[in-house]
Amino acid sequence: MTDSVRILHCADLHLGAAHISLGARSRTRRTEFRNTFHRITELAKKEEVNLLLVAGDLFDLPVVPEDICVEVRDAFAALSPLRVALCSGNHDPAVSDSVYLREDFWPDNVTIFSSGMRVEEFPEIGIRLVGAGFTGAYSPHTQLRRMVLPEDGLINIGLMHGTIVSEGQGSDHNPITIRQIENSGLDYLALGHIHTRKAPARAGKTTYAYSGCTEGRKFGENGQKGVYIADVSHNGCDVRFVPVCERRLEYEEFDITGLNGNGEIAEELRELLTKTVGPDYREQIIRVTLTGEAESGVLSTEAVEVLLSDIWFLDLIDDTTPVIDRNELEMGNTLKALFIKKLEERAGEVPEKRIELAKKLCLKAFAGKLL
Amino acid sequence: MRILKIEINNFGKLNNFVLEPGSGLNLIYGRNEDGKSTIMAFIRMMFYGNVGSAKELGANARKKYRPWNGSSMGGAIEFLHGGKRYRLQKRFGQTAGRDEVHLFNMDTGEPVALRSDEEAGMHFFGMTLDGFERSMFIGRSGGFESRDGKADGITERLVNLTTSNDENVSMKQTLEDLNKALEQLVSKRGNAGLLVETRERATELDRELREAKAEESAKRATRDELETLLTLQATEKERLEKVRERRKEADRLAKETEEKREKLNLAERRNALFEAEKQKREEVSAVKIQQTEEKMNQAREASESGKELNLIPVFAGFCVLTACAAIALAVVFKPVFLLLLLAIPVFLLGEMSAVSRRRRMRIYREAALARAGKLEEELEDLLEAVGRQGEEDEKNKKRLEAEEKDAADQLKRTETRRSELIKQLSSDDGLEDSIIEREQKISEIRAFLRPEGRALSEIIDERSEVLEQLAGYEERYEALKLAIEVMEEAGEELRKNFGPRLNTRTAEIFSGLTGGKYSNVNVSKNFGVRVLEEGDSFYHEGGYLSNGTNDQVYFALRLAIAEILTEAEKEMLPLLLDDIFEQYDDERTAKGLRFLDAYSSERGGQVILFTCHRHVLEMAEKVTEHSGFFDLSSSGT
Repeated sequence: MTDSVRILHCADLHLGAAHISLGARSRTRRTEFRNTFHRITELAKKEEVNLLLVAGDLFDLPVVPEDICVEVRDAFAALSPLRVALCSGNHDPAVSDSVYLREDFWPDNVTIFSSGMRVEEFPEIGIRLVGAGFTGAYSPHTQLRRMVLPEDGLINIGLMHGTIVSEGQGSDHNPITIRQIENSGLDYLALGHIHTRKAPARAGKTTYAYSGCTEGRKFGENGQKGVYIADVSHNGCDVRFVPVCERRLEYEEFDITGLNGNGEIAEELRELLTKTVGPDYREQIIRVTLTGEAESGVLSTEAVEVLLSDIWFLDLIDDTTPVIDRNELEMGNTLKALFIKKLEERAGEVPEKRIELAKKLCLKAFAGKLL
Repeated sequence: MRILKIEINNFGKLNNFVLEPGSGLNLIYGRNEDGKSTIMAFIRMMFYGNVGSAKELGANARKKYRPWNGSSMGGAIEFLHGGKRYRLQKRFGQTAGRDEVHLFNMDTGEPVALRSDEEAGMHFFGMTLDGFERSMFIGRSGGFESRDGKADGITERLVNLTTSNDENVSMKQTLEDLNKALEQLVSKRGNAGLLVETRERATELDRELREAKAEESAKRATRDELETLLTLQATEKERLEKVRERRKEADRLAKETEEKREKLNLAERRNALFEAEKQKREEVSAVKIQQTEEKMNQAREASESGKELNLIPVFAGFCVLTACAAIALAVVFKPVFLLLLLAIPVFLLGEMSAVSRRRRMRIYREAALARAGKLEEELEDLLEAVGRQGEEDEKNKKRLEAEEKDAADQLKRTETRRSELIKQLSSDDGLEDSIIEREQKISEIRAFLRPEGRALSEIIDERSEVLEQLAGYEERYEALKLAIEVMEEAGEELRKNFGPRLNTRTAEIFSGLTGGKYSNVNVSKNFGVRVLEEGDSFYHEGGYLSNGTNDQVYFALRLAIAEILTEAEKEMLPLLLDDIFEQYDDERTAKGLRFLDAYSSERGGQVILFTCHRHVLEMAEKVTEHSGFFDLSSSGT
């Protein structure tokens, strides 16, 4: 009879993703994703967990290059006798040539859930594992079926890749309702698929959580990424977050109105990033949208990017408007002024955004900077 | 701007030529060879000879007007601009790059710096040579097309002006740019462009996704089947494990059965052996007992045998009797009967032998008895032994029987278990086969389920990116269309503002030129002109008019335009007219001269009219009031 067990819960590692949008940096990024994977296995060892769970999408594709598969297998084998449990996700479903289905490939300490829900008991670590995996890109039926778990000394832990929905709502990716979780009788349900980490919650006596992805891949997956270390017992769970990502994705908006020249813009932007992203902003992947009014011909995103080339990856988007001479507009007898007046008259019939964009494009064209 | 002095050191045939035009109308008369065109070319070169802008002019003019005497080509122009007086000095080199230029403010003596690619004309008049020629130079030809049909400076500026009220903002260029940007998104023919291509890609991806999804749902039933099979296979495999265990057990039991059978056989054999042994032993014992018994009996018998009556008393008695008898008899009868006493020794001998015999017999009997006794003992021993043996045998027998029974039981049990197991196993027969078959089916299903195209997640990811891009392009497209639409509207409105102005002014000037003969002029978008004769009800095209009138119309137009253009400069530019009255009759010429006179003095603008017709000069002397006259033929070269 064990009082509590310690598990490491991670998900959505997406090993094998190409990261094309990072251009020249994509190769390095691919390596970094693999490094993060190793950081996780090291962490599992260091934290002396009883069980390492990967809740789906360990790989980015159903079939990834062989060297990645071998690297993963060897890392898991090296953890032995620490038990590792994986389930296949919608990005790496157990289709016919999936590495998950290979016989004689995975070491003995790895358990893989690659189809419908099933139960496996590991009395030596005091855990009963209930898991399910994707056999295709879609799973419109829930994989968390009704079950009655025996009340004994074993800690009941669930492992699934899926989407939490409200009653009556459906999903293409293993819909799970809170009620189902409540009725499951599990002590902890390790979920994957949602890339944004969610704080652990309780449904009945079950604690469930999305650990979120472990390394950001596209903007939207911003901020710190990592894993959950949970001490699970029949009476409750103690869950804490441990960051493992090598780099963060960050997004900012920056108004350059009133700034003179690319040098000043770069300097001010640097200050902003130091404040909002942190003193380690140089190591991150950052996208900044420049807004406000720019003197025509002055702003060059390339020049600013060069001045900030010590940032690992910086994507500047020019969303500025050319400066409008208020006097000229006031006088109203030039084409420019007349154009703006007539454009604004269209406000009722045309969406605001389009008017703004038309204004911006035309002012650029007036200044000869459109093309 | 007003030209104050033209100093030509060496240019063409002119040498040390100085001309100081006045502020109003200036007539410069010269015969064909007198240098009119030279002066005009000089003015052009001074203001626009810097960079080979008008290549024709630049290269050819240098060659054409290079002095034959080899001396350096050059001169100066002094002019008033923005209230300041300037002096522009040039010495023309072989090429524009080799020109020596000095430009300075005469009032302050400060030099004025021009940019390396800037012409003096551009700097002061704000227009290119073309614009200069179109607005300041008015030549003989009518019409308003540019020389080579392409957009020229004046057209551009005029268009800019009339359309944007800002010469630097070219509505045409802006519209062109906007349209180019639009075409980047959707080409003119609509078959190319970022938007079109992205839309196509999005459609492709939609199709790919639809197909993949359809494939998914078509395969859903199969997928469910797979799930079921997988679960079943898992259970069956577990069962197989158990079956294998049972088989092993059955085998083990078979071996055990053999062993048990062996054991039983052994036990049986032992039993049999034992029986035999026992039998033999019993036999032997029996024999021995029998023998011993016999012997004993014999001995007993013997101990009983020879048992004779103890006749000693009898004998004694007999003896006594005999003696008595003998005596008696002897007494009675004869002593012969004492012979009977002889019988006593006989009897005594006999008795003694009988006694020794009896003693012998007794010893023999005693021996026999002893023997019998011993034999009895022996027999007892034997019997006891037999009994003990019998007990032991019994025990052993029981034991062996028990063992045998036990072995038999065990065997039976083992056999029973085995046969039960075998019965059980028989129902699991073919389990392996069914599992292999099912595995095969699972493989087949998996191969069938394998997606034919890309992974759904890949398609979905790409599609959402492309859709995002598409939305961006579509927004941009709509915005550009809107911008173009509104721009054209605004331009139209502006033009409408100018149109009438141009019309009005042209009509005014024309009227002035023609003495009121034509009341109305209509200038089209392309600067074509139609006139309405007084009293007439419809407009005549320019071609309808006589050449002279046509000239007048276009002159009026050019003048009106020049006014508008220079108005923007906020500085009147001098008008250089090149024999514009050539085709006029006298009346028109007079009217025209009067007009110019009034025009220059009213508007405060300098007009320099070149003519090679003396009668013009003479007429001007007659009809004008404010003019200055220059006769090149008399100024000498």
